[in-house]
Amino acid sequence: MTALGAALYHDCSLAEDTRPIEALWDALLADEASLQQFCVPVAPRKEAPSTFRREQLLQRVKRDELASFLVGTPATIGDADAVTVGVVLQPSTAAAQEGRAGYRYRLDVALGAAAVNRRGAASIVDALVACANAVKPRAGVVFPADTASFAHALATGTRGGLTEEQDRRVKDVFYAVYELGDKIRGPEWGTFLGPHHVAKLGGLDRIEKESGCAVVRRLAHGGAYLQITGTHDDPGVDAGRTALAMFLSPVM
Amino acid sequence: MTRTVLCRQRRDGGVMVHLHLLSKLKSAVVVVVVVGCVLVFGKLAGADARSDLESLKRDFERLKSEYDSRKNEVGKYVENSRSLRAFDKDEMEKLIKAMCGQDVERDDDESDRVNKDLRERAVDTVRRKWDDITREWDGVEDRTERLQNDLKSLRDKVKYIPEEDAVKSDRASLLDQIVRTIDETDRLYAKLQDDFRALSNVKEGVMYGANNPKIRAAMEYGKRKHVEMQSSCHEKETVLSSGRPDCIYFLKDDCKVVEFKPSTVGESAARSQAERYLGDVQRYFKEDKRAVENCRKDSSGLPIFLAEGKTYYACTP
Repeated sequence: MTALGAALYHDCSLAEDTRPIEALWDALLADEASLQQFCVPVAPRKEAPSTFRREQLLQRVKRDELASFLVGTPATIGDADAVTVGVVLQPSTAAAQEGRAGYRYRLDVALGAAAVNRRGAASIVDALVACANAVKPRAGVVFPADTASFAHALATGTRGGLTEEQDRRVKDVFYAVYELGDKIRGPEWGTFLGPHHVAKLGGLDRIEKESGCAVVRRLAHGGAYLQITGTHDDPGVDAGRTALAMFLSPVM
Repeated sequence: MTRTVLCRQRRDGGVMVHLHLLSKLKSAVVVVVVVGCVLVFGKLAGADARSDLESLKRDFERLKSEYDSRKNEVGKYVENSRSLRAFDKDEMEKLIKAMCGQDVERDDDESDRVNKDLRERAVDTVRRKWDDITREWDGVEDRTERLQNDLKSLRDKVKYIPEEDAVKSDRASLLDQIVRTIDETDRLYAKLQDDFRALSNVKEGVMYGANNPKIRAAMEYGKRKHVEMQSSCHEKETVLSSGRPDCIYFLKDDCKVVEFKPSTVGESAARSQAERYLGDVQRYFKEDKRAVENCRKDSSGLPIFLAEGKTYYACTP
Protein backbone atom coordinates (compact mmCIF):
# COMPACT_ATOMS: atom_id res chain seq x y z
CA MET A 1 0.00 0.00 0.00
CA THR A 2 1.62 3.23 -1.14
CA ALA A 3 0.39 6.75 -1.62
CA LEU A 4 0.93 8.50 -4.91
CA GLY A 5 1.81 12.07 -5.80
CA ALA A 6 2.23 13.99 -9.03
CA ALA A 7 3.18 17.45 -10.24
CA LEU A 8 2.98 19.04 -13.66
CA TYR A 9 4.87 22.28 -14.37
CA HIS A 10 3.37 24.19 -17.26
CA ASP A 11 2.61 27.57 -18.83
CA CYS A 12 -1.00 26.98 -19.77
CA SER A 13 -3.46 29.52 -18.32
CA LEU A 14 -6.21 27.44 -16.77
CA ALA A 15 -8.27 30.57 -16.17
CA GLU A 16 -8.72 30.75 -19.93
CA ASP A 17 -9.57 27.09 -20.35
CA THR A 18 -10.71 25.15 -17.32
CA ARG A 19 -11.36 21.86 -19.14
CA PRO A 20 -8.10 20.18 -18.02
CA ILE A 21 -9.02 20.83 -14.38
CA GLU A 22 -12.53 19.53 -14.87
CA ALA A 23 -11.27 16.38 -16.58
CA LEU A 24 -8.89 15.75 -13.70
CA TRP A 25 -11.68 16.26 -11.15
CA ASP A 26 -13.90 13.86 -13.06
CA ALA A 27 -11.20 11.23 -13.17
CA LEU A 28 -9.92 11.51 -9.61
CA LEU A 29 -12.69 12.94 -7.46
CA ALA A 30 -15.96 11.74 -8.96
CA ASP A 31 -16.33 8.87 -6.48
CA GLU A 32 -15.73 10.94 -3.37
CA ALA A 33 -18.84 11.48 -1.29
CA SER A 34 -17.60 14.55 0.51
CA LEU A 35 -15.33 17.12 -1.09
CA GLN A 36 -14.05 20.47 0.07
CA GLN A 37 -12.44 23.37 -1.69
CA PHE A 38 -9.82 25.64 -0.26
CA CYS A 39 -9.22 28.82 -2.21
CA VAL A 40 -6.32 31.23 -1.91
CA PRO A 41 -7.69 34.44 -3.38
CA VAL A 42 -5.64 37.03 -5.24
CA ALA A 43 -7.07 39.63 -2.86
CA PRO A 44 -5.13 39.80 0.40
CA ARG A 45 -7.54 37.87 2.55
CA LYS A 46 -7.90 34.34 3.81
CA GLU A 47 -10.77 32.02 3.17
CA ALA A 48 -11.96 29.03 5.14
CA PRO A 49 -12.38 25.66 3.44
CA SER A 50 -15.91 25.14 2.19
CA THR A 51 -17.98 22.49 0.46
CA PHE A 52 -16.84 21.92 -3.11
CA ARG A 53 -19.07 23.86 -5.50
CA ARG A 54 -17.82 23.03 -8.94
CA GLU A 55 -19.51 25.70 -11.03
CA GLN A 56 -18.97 28.48 -8.53
CA LEU A 57 -15.29 27.57 -8.25
CA LEU A 58 -14.85 27.44 -12.03
CA GLN A 59 -16.43 30.88 -12.34
CA ARG A 60 -13.96 32.27 -9.80
CA VAL A 61 -11.10 30.67 -11.73
CA LYS A 62 -12.33 32.24 -14.97
CA ARG A 63 -12.66 35.63 -13.29
CA ASP A 64 -9.00 35.42 -12.21
CA GLU A 65 -9.99 35.80 -8.57
CA LEU A 66 -7.78 33.00 -7.30
CA ALA A 67 -4.04 32.61 -6.91
CA SER A 68 -4.45 28.89 -6.23
CA PHE A 69 -6.95 26.38 -4.95
CA LEU A 70 -7.20 22.85 -3.65
CA VAL A 71 -10.10 20.46 -4.09
CA GLY A 72 -10.15 17.26 -2.14
CA THR A 73 -11.35 15.23 0.78
CA PRO A 74 -11.79 17.11 4.08
CA ALA A 75 -8.75 17.45 6.33
CA THR A 76 -10.46 15.33 8.95
CA ILE A 77 -10.41 12.22 6.74
CA GLY A 78 -7.66 9.65 7.31
CA ASP A 79 -4.44 9.98 5.29
CA ALA A 80 -4.98 6.69 3.42
CA ASP A 81 -8.27 7.94 1.99
CA ALA A 82 -7.13 11.49 1.32
CA VAL A 83 -7.19 12.91 -2.19
CA THR A 84 -6.23 16.44 -3.22
CA VAL A 85 -5.99 18.15 -6.57
CA GLY A 86 -4.17 21.47 -6.35
CA VAL A 87 -3.93 24.13 -9.00
CA VAL A 88 -1.57 27.12 -8.92
CA LEU A 89 -3.09 29.79 -11.14
CA GLN A 90 -0.62 32.57 -10.43
CA PRO A 91 3.13 32.04 -10.15
CA SER A 92 4.10 31.96 -6.49
CA THR A 93 7.87 32.48 -6.35
CA ALA A 94 9.74 35.51 -7.62
CA ALA A 95 11.53 33.29 -10.13
CA ALA A 96 8.24 31.99 -11.57
CA GLN A 97 6.75 35.48 -11.58
CA GLU A 98 9.76 36.86 -13.41
CA GLY A 99 9.96 34.01 -15.92
CA ARG A 100 13.17 32.52 -14.52
CA ALA A 101 11.68 29.29 -13.21
CA GLY A 102 11.14 27.65 -16.57
CA TYR A 103 7.42 27.38 -15.90
CA ARG A 104 4.67 29.59 -14.51
CA TYR A 105 2.05 27.26 -13.09
CA ARG A 106 1.80 23.96 -11.29
CA LEU A 107 -0.82 21.30 -11.06
CA ASP A 108 -0.44 18.80 -8.24
CA VAL A 109 -2.17 15.64 -7.12
CA ALA A 110 -1.83 13.54 -3.95
CA LEU A 111 -3.68 10.35 -3.09
CA GLY A 112 -3.46 8.19 0.01
CA ALA A 113 -2.76 4.48 -0.31
CA ALA A 114 -6.38 3.34 -0.02
CA ALA A 115 -7.50 5.99 -2.49
CA VAL A 116 -4.86 4.76 -4.97
CA ASN A 117 -5.99 1.17 -4.48
CA ARG A 118 -9.61 2.04 -5.13
CA ARG A 119 -8.84 3.81 -8.39
CA GLY A 120 -5.84 1.79 -9.54
CA ALA A 121 -2.53 3.55 -10.25
CA ALA A 122 -2.96 2.97 -14.00
CA SER A 123 -6.18 4.97 -14.18
CA ILE A 124 -4.60 7.79 -12.16
CA VAL A 125 -1.69 7.87 -14.61
CA ASP A 126 -4.15 7.86 -17.52
CA ALA A 127 -5.86 10.91 -16.05
CA LEU A 128 -2.52 12.68 -15.54
CA VAL A 129 -1.37 11.90 -19.07
CA ALA A 130 -4.68 13.19 -20.46
CA CYS A 131 -4.19 16.34 -18.40
CA ALA A 132 -0.60 16.63 -19.65
CA ASN A 133 -1.85 16.43 -23.23
CA ALA A 134 -4.00 19.45 -22.46
CA VAL A 135 -1.60 21.62 -20.43
CA LYS A 136 1.59 20.74 -22.35
CA PRO A 137 3.90 20.38 -19.35
CA ARG A 138 7.51 21.48 -19.47
CA ALA A 139 8.24 18.89 -16.79
CA GLY A 140 6.48 16.71 -14.30
CA VAL A 141 6.61 13.64 -12.11
CA VAL A 142 4.46 10.84 -10.72
CA PHE A 143 5.92 9.19 -7.63
CA PRO A 144 5.07 6.82 -4.78
CA ALA A 145 5.23 8.21 -1.22
CA ASP A 146 4.69 6.90 2.30
CA THR A 147 1.64 9.06 2.94
CA ALA A 148 -0.71 11.38 1.10
CA SER A 149 0.58 14.29 3.19
CA PHE A 150 4.16 13.55 2.15
CA ALA A 151 3.01 13.08 -1.47
CA HIS A 152 1.39 16.52 -1.35
CA ALA A 153 4.52 18.06 0.15
CA LEU A 154 6.75 16.46 -2.50
CA ALA A 155 4.40 17.47 -5.29
CA THR A 156 4.21 21.10 -4.17
CA GLY A 157 7.61 21.59 -2.55
CA THR A 158 5.84 22.87 0.54
CA ARG A 159 6.41 21.62 4.08
CA GLY A 160 4.73 20.98 7.39
CA GLY A 161 3.75 17.95 9.43
CA LEU A 162 6.63 15.85 8.08
CA THR A 163 9.45 13.82 9.58
CA GLU A 164 12.94 15.35 9.47
CA GLU A 165 13.93 13.04 6.64
CA GLN A 166 10.80 13.84 4.67
CA ASP A 167 11.30 17.54 5.30
CA ARG A 168 14.88 17.34 3.93
CA ARG A 169 13.62 15.66 0.77
CA VAL A 170 10.93 18.28 0.27
CA LYS A 171 13.50 21.08 0.68
CA ASP A 172 15.69 19.43 -1.96
CA VAL A 173 12.73 19.21 -4.31
CA PHE A 174 11.81 22.86 -3.74
CA TYR A 175 15.34 24.10 -4.46
CA ALA A 176 15.55 21.78 -7.50
CA VAL A 177 12.36 23.07 -9.10
CA TYR A 178 12.74 26.70 -7.99
CA GLU A 179 14.56 27.51 -11.19
CA LEU A 180 13.94 24.40 -13.22
CA GLY A 181 14.78 26.06 -16.51
CA ASP A 182 15.16 23.51 -19.28
CA LYS A 183 15.83 20.66 -16.90
CA ILE A 184 13.47 17.89 -15.92
CA ARG A 185 12.24 17.22 -12.43
CA GLY A 186 13.19 13.70 -11.41
CA PRO A 187 13.50 11.14 -12.62
CA GLU A 188 10.76 9.54 -10.59
CA TRP A 189 8.60 6.45 -11.14
CA GLY A 190 6.77 8.48 -13.77
CA THR A 191 8.56 11.38 -15.49
CA PHE A 192 7.15 13.92 -17.94
CA LEU A 193 9.47 15.30 -20.58
CA GLY A 194 8.87 18.44 -22.61
CA PRO A 195 9.40 18.49 -26.38
CA HIS A 196 12.85 20.05 -25.91
CA HIS A 197 13.86 17.21 -23.59
CA VAL A 198 12.71 14.63 -26.12
CA ALA A 199 14.65 16.38 -28.84
CA LYS A 200 17.75 16.64 -26.68
CA LEU A 201 17.56 12.93 -25.87
CA GLY A 202 17.50 11.98 -29.55
CA GLY A 203 13.80 11.64 -30.17
CA LEU A 204 11.07 9.36 -28.97
CA ASP A 205 12.25 6.28 -30.82
CA ARG A 206 15.54 6.38 -29.04
CA ILE A 207 13.82 6.97 -25.70
CA GLU A 208 11.58 3.97 -26.31
CA LYS A 209 14.53 1.76 -27.17
CA GLU A 210 17.14 2.92 -24.71
CA SER A 211 15.49 4.43 -21.64
CA GLY A 212 14.71 1.01 -20.14
CA CYS A 213 11.26 2.25 -19.09
CA ALA A 214 8.32 -0.15 -18.98
CA VAL A 215 6.04 2.56 -20.35
CA VAL A 216 6.80 5.34 -22.81
CA ARG A 217 3.87 7.47 -23.96
CA ARG A 218 4.00 10.19 -26.54
CA LEU A 219 2.33 13.46 -25.53
CA ALA A 220 0.36 15.72 -27.87
CA HIS A 221 2.84 18.61 -27.66
CA GLY A 222 5.81 16.42 -28.59
CA GLY A 223 6.81 15.58 -25.04
CA ALA A 224 6.69 12.15 -23.47
CA TYR A 225 5.70 10.31 -20.32
CA LEU A 226 8.16 7.68 -19.12
CA GLN A 227 7.33 5.14 -16.44
CA ILE A 228 10.02 2.94 -14.94
CA THR A 229 7.82 -0.05 -14.02
CA GLY A 230 4.26 -1.14 -14.65
CA THR A 231 3.18 -0.50 -11.07
CA HIS A 232 4.30 2.19 -8.61
CA ASP A 233 5.00 -0.28 -5.79
CA ASP A 234 7.24 -2.54 -7.89
CA PRO A 235 10.48 -3.27 -5.96
CA GLY A 236 12.43 -2.51 -9.12
CA VAL A 237 11.55 1.21 -9.03
CA ASP A 238 14.71 2.34 -7.18
CA ALA A 239 17.13 0.45 -9.43
CA GLY A 240 15.19 1.59 -12.48
CA ARG A 241 15.42 5.22 -11.32
CA THR A 242 19.21 5.03 -11.12
CA ALA A 243 19.41 3.60 -14.62
CA LEU A 244 16.93 6.15 -15.98
CA ALA A 245 18.85 9.00 -14.33
CA MET A 246 21.89 7.99 -16.36
CA PHE A 247 19.87 7.94 -19.55
CA LEU A 248 18.28 11.32 -18.76
CA SER A 249 21.49 12.99 -17.57
CA PRO A 250 21.61 15.38 -20.58
CA VAL A 251 18.36 16.98 -19.42
CA MET A 252 18.94 16.87 -15.67
CA MET B 1 -79.82 19.06 46.92
CA THR B 2 -83.38 20.04 45.79
CA ARG B 3 -84.42 16.40 45.85
CA THR B 4 -83.18 15.97 49.41
CA VAL B 5 -85.25 18.96 50.68
CA LEU B 6 -88.46 17.68 49.02
CA CYS B 7 -87.96 14.32 50.59
CA ARG B 8 -87.59 15.87 53.99
CA GLN B 9 -90.92 17.77 53.60
CA ARG B 10 -92.71 14.61 52.53
CA ARG B 11 -91.29 12.75 55.49
CA ASP B 12 -92.37 15.47 58.00
CA GLY B 13 -95.94 15.55 56.63
CA GLY B 14 -96.24 11.78 56.83
CA VAL B 15 -95.12 11.62 60.44
CA MET B 16 -97.69 14.25 61.52
CA VAL B 17 -100.62 12.26 59.91
CA HIS B 18 -99.57 9.02 61.54
CA LEU B 19 -99.11 10.52 65.00
CA HIS B 20 -102.63 11.96 64.88
CA LEU B 21 -104.26 8.67 63.78
CA LEU B 22 -102.20 6.48 66.05
CA SER B 23 -103.01 8.29 69.26
CA LYS B 24 -105.70 5.71 69.80
CA LEU B 25 -104.06 2.75 68.20
CA LYS B 26 -101.89 0.18 69.70
CA SER B 27 -98.17 0.89 69.97
CA ALA B 28 -97.38 -2.11 67.77
CA VAL B 29 -99.22 -0.58 64.85
CA VAL B 30 -97.44 2.71 65.47
CA VAL B 31 -94.10 1.01 65.39
CA VAL B 32 -94.97 -0.75 62.14
CA VAL B 33 -96.09 2.47 60.46
CA VAL B 34 -93.15 4.48 61.74
CA VAL B 35 -90.68 1.86 60.67
CA GLY B 36 -92.36 1.67 57.27
CA CYS B 37 -92.20 5.40 56.87
CA VAL B 38 -88.59 5.52 57.88
CA LEU B 39 -87.86 2.77 55.41
CA VAL B 40 -89.66 4.66 52.62
CA PHE B 41 -87.88 7.87 53.51
CA GLY B 42 -84.51 6.13 53.70
CA LYS B 43 -85.10 4.59 50.35
CA LEU B 44 -86.06 7.91 48.78
CA ALA B 45 -83.15 9.80 50.34
CA GLY B 46 -80.63 7.10 49.32
CA ALA B 47 -81.95 7.14 45.78
CA ASP B 48 -81.36 10.92 45.46
CA ALA B 49 -77.81 10.75 46.85
CA ARG B 50 -77.04 7.86 44.53
CA SER B 51 -78.40 9.81 41.62
CA ASP B 52 -76.17 12.79 42.55
CA LEU B 53 -73.23 10.47 42.94
CA GLU B 54 -73.89 8.89 39.56
CA SER B 55 -73.96 12.29 37.97
CA LEU B 56 -70.67 13.24 39.61
CA LYS B 57 -69.22 9.90 38.56
CA ARG B 58 -70.04 10.78 34.97
CA ASP B 59 -68.39 14.16 35.47
CA PHE B 60 -65.37 12.36 36.81
CA GLU B 61 -65.26 9.98 33.84
CA ARG B 62 -65.20 13.00 31.55
CA LEU B 63 -62.41 14.65 33.55
CA LYS B 64 -60.52 11.37 33.74
CA SER B 65 -60.64 11.12 29.98
CA GLU B 66 -59.48 14.74 29.81
CA TYR B 67 -56.64 13.85 32.15
CA ASP B 68 -55.59 11.09 29.75
CA SER B 69 -55.60 13.61 26.90
CA ARG B 70 -53.53 16.08 28.95
CA LYS B 71 -51.11 13.33 29.85
CA ASN B 72 -50.61 12.54 26.17
CA GLU B 73 -50.32 16.20 25.35
CA VAL B 74 -47.71 16.80 28.04
CA GLY B 75 -45.85 13.71 26.82
CA LYS B 76 -45.78 15.08 23.29
CA TYR B 77 -44.76 18.51 24.50
CA VAL B 78 -41.88 17.11 26.55
CA GLU B 79 -40.80 15.10 23.52
CA ASN B 80 -40.80 18.28 21.44
CA SER B 81 -39.00 20.24 24.07
CA ARG B 82 -36.41 17.47 24.33
CA SER B 83 -35.82 17.77 20.61
CA LEU B 84 -35.35 21.51 21.05
CA ARG B 85 -32.92 20.85 23.84
CA ALA B 86 -31.00 18.42 21.63
CA PHE B 87 -31.28 20.85 18.75
CA ASP B 88 -30.14 23.63 20.98
CA LYS B 89 -27.15 21.58 22.08
CA ASP B 90 -26.41 20.67 18.45
CA GLU B 91 -26.63 24.31 17.45
CA MET B 92 -24.25 25.22 20.21
CA GLU B 93 -21.82 22.49 19.15
CA LYS B 94 -22.12 23.48 15.52
CA LEU B 95 -21.53 27.09 16.45
CA ILE B 96 -18.45 26.34 18.53
CA LYS B 97 -17.16 23.92 15.91
CA ALA B 98 -17.50 26.58 13.24
CA MET B 99 -15.72 29.07 15.46
CA CYS B 100 -12.99 26.57 16.28
CA GLY B 101 -12.55 25.67 12.62
CA GLN B 102 -11.87 29.23 11.64
CA ASP B 103 -8.43 30.43 10.76
CA VAL B 104 -8.12 33.42 13.02
CA GLU B 105 -5.66 36.23 12.73
CA ARG B 106 -4.46 37.67 15.98
CA ASP B 107 -6.00 41.09 15.33
CA ASP B 108 -8.53 40.07 12.78
CA ASP B 109 -11.76 42.06 12.68
CA GLU B 110 -12.97 39.70 9.97
CA SER B 111 -12.87 36.67 12.27
CA ASP B 112 -14.74 38.64 14.94
CA ARG B 113 -17.35 39.52 12.36
CA VAL B 114 -17.65 35.90 11.20
CA ASN B 115 -17.94 34.71 14.81
CA LYS B 116 -20.64 37.28 15.51
CA ASP B 117 -22.46 36.27 12.37
CA LEU B 118 -22.26 32.57 13.25
CA ARG B 119 -23.59 33.27 16.73
CA GLU B 120 -26.44 35.43 15.48
CA ARG B 121 -27.50 32.79 13.01
CA ALA B 122 -27.50 30.11 15.70
CA VAL B 123 -29.44 32.39 18.05
CA ASP B 124 -31.98 33.12 15.34
CA THR B 125 -32.54 29.45 14.58
CA VAL B 126 -32.95 28.60 18.26
CA ARG B 127 -35.23 31.58 18.85
CA ARG B 128 -37.63 30.52 16.11
CA LYS B 129 -37.85 26.98 17.47
CA TRP B 130 -38.11 28.38 21.00
CA ASP B 131 -41.07 30.59 20.05
CA ASP B 132 -42.93 27.58 18.64
CA ILE B 133 -42.30 25.44 21.69
CA THR B 134 -43.28 28.16 24.18
CA ARG B 135 -46.53 28.72 22.31
CA GLU B 136 -47.21 25.01 22.66
CA TRP B 137 -46.23 25.14 26.34
CA ASP B 138 -48.66 27.99 27.04
CA GLY B 139 -51.57 25.99 25.61
CA VAL B 140 -50.70 22.77 27.42
CA GLU B 141 -50.12 24.62 30.69
CA ASP B 142 -53.53 26.40 30.44
CA ARG B 143 -55.42 23.21 29.77
CA THR B 144 -53.64 21.33 32.56
CA GLU B 145 -54.34 24.10 35.06
CA ARG B 146 -58.02 24.13 34.06
CA LEU B 147 -58.18 20.37 34.59
CA GLN B 148 -56.65 20.77 38.05
CA ASN B 149 -59.38 23.27 38.98
CA ASP B 150 -62.20 21.15 37.54
CA LEU B 151 -61.00 18.11 39.45
CA LYS B 152 -60.78 20.05 42.70
CA SER B 153 -64.29 21.42 42.22
CA LEU B 154 -65.58 17.90 41.54
CA ARG B 155 -63.87 16.64 44.68
CA ASP B 156 -65.70 19.32 46.72
CA LYS B 157 -69.06 18.35 45.19
CA VAL B 158 -68.53 14.71 46.09
CA LYS B 159 -67.57 15.67 49.64
CA TYR B 160 -70.89 17.52 49.91
CA ILE B 161 -72.88 14.34 49.32
CA PRO B 162 -73.94 13.04 52.75
CA GLU B 163 -72.14 9.95 53.89
CA GLU B 164 -75.22 7.76 53.95
CA ASP B 165 -74.97 4.02 54.08
CA ALA B 166 -76.44 3.55 50.62
CA VAL B 167 -73.72 5.62 48.90
CA LYS B 168 -70.99 5.58 51.48
CA SER B 169 -68.78 3.08 49.79
CA ASP B 170 -69.23 4.46 46.26
CA ARG B 171 -68.75 8.00 47.49
CA ALA B 172 -65.50 7.07 49.22
CA SER B 173 -64.31 5.22 46.14
CA LEU B 174 -65.09 8.14 43.82
CA LEU B 175 -63.45 10.57 46.19
CA ASP B 176 -60.37 8.41 46.30
CA GLN B 177 -60.19 8.23 42.50
CA ILE B 178 -60.62 11.99 42.18
CA VAL B 179 -57.93 12.73 44.75
CA ARG B 180 -55.55 10.36 42.99
CA THR B 181 -56.26 12.03 39.65
CA ILE B 182 -55.68 15.44 41.23
CA ASP B 183 -52.30 14.23 42.49
CA GLU B 184 -51.41 12.90 39.05
CA THR B 185 -52.48 16.15 37.41
CA ASP B 186 -50.43 18.12 39.91
CA ARG B 187 -47.42 16.00 39.01
CA LEU B 188 -48.11 16.59 35.33
CA TYR B 189 -48.26 20.32 35.95
CA ALA B 190 -45.04 20.28 37.97
CA LYS B 191 -43.36 18.34 35.16
CA LEU B 192 -44.39 21.03 32.72
CA GLN B 193 -43.04 23.77 34.96
CA ASP B 194 -39.75 21.94 35.51
CA ASP B 195 -39.33 21.34 31.82
CA PHE B 196 -39.93 24.99 31.06
CA ARG B 197 -37.34 26.07 33.60
CA ALA B 198 -34.77 23.60 32.20
CA LEU B 199 -35.54 24.68 28.66
CA SER B 200 -35.14 28.34 29.53
CA ASN B 201 -31.75 27.66 31.08
CA VAL B 202 -30.51 25.77 28.02
CA LYS B 203 -31.86 28.40 25.67
CA GLU B 204 -30.05 31.15 27.51
CA GLY B 205 -26.82 29.34 26.66
CA VAL B 206 -27.21 30.09 22.98
CA MET B 207 -29.43 33.15 23.06
CA TYR B 208 -26.96 34.99 25.20
CA GLY B 209 -24.05 33.12 23.67
CA ALA B 210 -21.50 35.89 23.89
CA ASN B 211 -21.63 35.49 27.65
CA ASN B 212 -21.47 31.74 27.40
CA PRO B 213 -17.98 30.74 28.57
CA LYS B 214 -17.74 27.95 25.98
CA ILE B 215 -18.54 30.30 23.13
CA ARG B 216 -16.30 32.98 24.48
CA ALA B 217 -13.45 30.45 24.76
CA ALA B 218 -14.01 29.29 21.18
CA MET B 219 -13.98 32.87 19.94
CA GLU B 220 -10.66 33.52 21.61
CA TYR B 221 -9.05 30.11 21.00
CA GLY B 222 -7.78 30.69 17.46
CA LYS B 223 -6.37 34.08 18.35
CA ARG B 224 -4.60 32.66 21.40
CA LYS B 225 -3.14 29.77 19.38
CA HIS B 226 -1.80 32.17 16.77
CA VAL B 227 -0.18 34.34 19.43
CA GLU B 228 1.36 31.26 21.08
CA MET B 229 2.70 29.86 17.82
CA GLN B 230 4.01 33.23 16.74
CA SER B 231 6.12 33.65 19.86
CA SER B 232 9.25 32.27 18.18
CA CYS B 233 8.73 33.92 14.77
CA HIS B 234 11.31 36.40 13.52
CA GLU B 235 8.58 38.38 11.81
CA LYS B 236 4.83 38.06 12.13
CA GLU B 237 1.82 39.51 10.35
CA THR B 238 4.00 41.42 7.88
CA VAL B 239 1.67 43.44 5.69
CA LEU B 240 2.18 42.49 2.02
CA SER B 241 0.11 43.01 -1.09
CA SER B 242 -0.73 39.29 -1.02
CA GLY B 243 -1.83 39.35 2.64
CA ARG B 244 -0.30 38.92 6.07
CA PRO B 245 1.76 35.76 6.53
CA ASP B 246 1.50 34.44 10.08
CA CYS B 247 5.21 33.94 10.55
CA ILE B 248 8.59 34.35 8.86
CA TYR B 249 11.88 32.75 9.93
CA PHE B 250 15.39 33.72 8.80
CA LEU B 251 17.21 30.50 9.70
CA LYS B 252 20.55 29.52 8.16
CA ASP B 253 19.77 28.00 4.75
CA ASP B 254 16.22 27.54 5.88
CA CYS B 255 14.31 30.78 5.45
CA LYS B 256 10.62 30.08 5.51
CA VAL B 257 7.14 31.51 5.52
CA VAL B 258 4.83 29.69 7.90
CA GLU B 259 1.05 29.68 7.97
CA PHE B 260 -0.90 28.40 10.97
CA LYS B 261 -4.25 26.72 10.55
CA PRO B 262 -6.50 24.66 12.80
CA SER B 263 -6.24 20.91 12.22
CA THR B 264 -9.75 20.93 10.78
CA VAL B 265 -8.45 23.06 7.90
CA GLY B 266 -5.41 20.85 7.39
CA GLU B 267 -1.77 21.06 6.41
CA SER B 268 -2.33 21.06 2.66
CA ALA B 269 -4.42 24.22 2.93
CA ALA B 270 -1.92 25.82 5.31
CA ARG B 271 0.92 25.02 2.89
CA SER B 272 -1.05 26.48 -0.03
CA GLN B 273 -1.74 29.67 1.89
CA ALA B 274 1.94 30.01 2.85
CA GLU B 275 2.98 29.49 -0.76
CA ARG B 276 0.90 32.49 -1.78
CA TYR B 277 3.26 34.88 0.05
CA LEU B 278 6.59 33.60 -1.30
CA GLY B 279 7.20 36.12 -4.10
CA ASP B 280 6.17 39.09 -1.95
CA VAL B 281 8.28 37.96 1.02
CA GLN B 282 11.32 37.49 -1.24
CA ARG B 283 11.07 41.07 -2.47
CA TYR B 284 10.06 42.62 0.85
CA PHE B 285 13.06 41.19 2.69
CA LYS B 286 15.60 41.20 -0.15
CA GLU B 287 17.79 43.76 1.62
CA ASP B 288 17.02 42.69 5.15
CA LYS B 289 20.26 41.77 6.88
CA ARG B 290 18.78 38.56 8.28
CA ALA B 291 17.74 37.44 4.81
CA VAL B 292 21.02 38.51 3.23
CA GLU B 293 23.03 36.59 5.80
CA ASN B 294 20.93 33.45 6.16
CA CYS B 295 18.75 32.67 3.16
CA ARG B 296 19.84 30.86 0.03
CA LYS B 297 19.69 33.15 -3.01
CA ASP B 298 18.20 32.63 -6.43
CA SER B 299 19.82 33.56 -9.76
CA SER B 300 18.72 37.18 -9.27
CA GLY B 301 20.17 37.34 -5.78
CA LEU B 302 16.75 37.30 -4.13
CA PRO B 303 16.49 35.36 -0.88
CA ILE B 304 14.66 32.06 -1.27
CA PHE B 305 11.92 31.24 1.25
CA LEU B 306 10.13 27.94 1.54
CA ALA B 307 6.45 27.63 2.35
CA GLU B 308 5.42 25.72 5.46
CA GLY B 309 1.99 24.89 6.85
CA LYS B 310 1.62 24.19 10.55
CA THR B 311 -1.57 23.02 12.17
CA TYR B 312 -2.76 23.20 15.75
CA TYR B 313 -5.51 21.10 17.29
CA ALA B 314 -8.75 22.90 16.71
CA CYS B 315 -10.80 23.51 19.85
CA THR B 316 -13.79 21.23 20.16
CA PRO B 317 -17.33 21.93 21.33
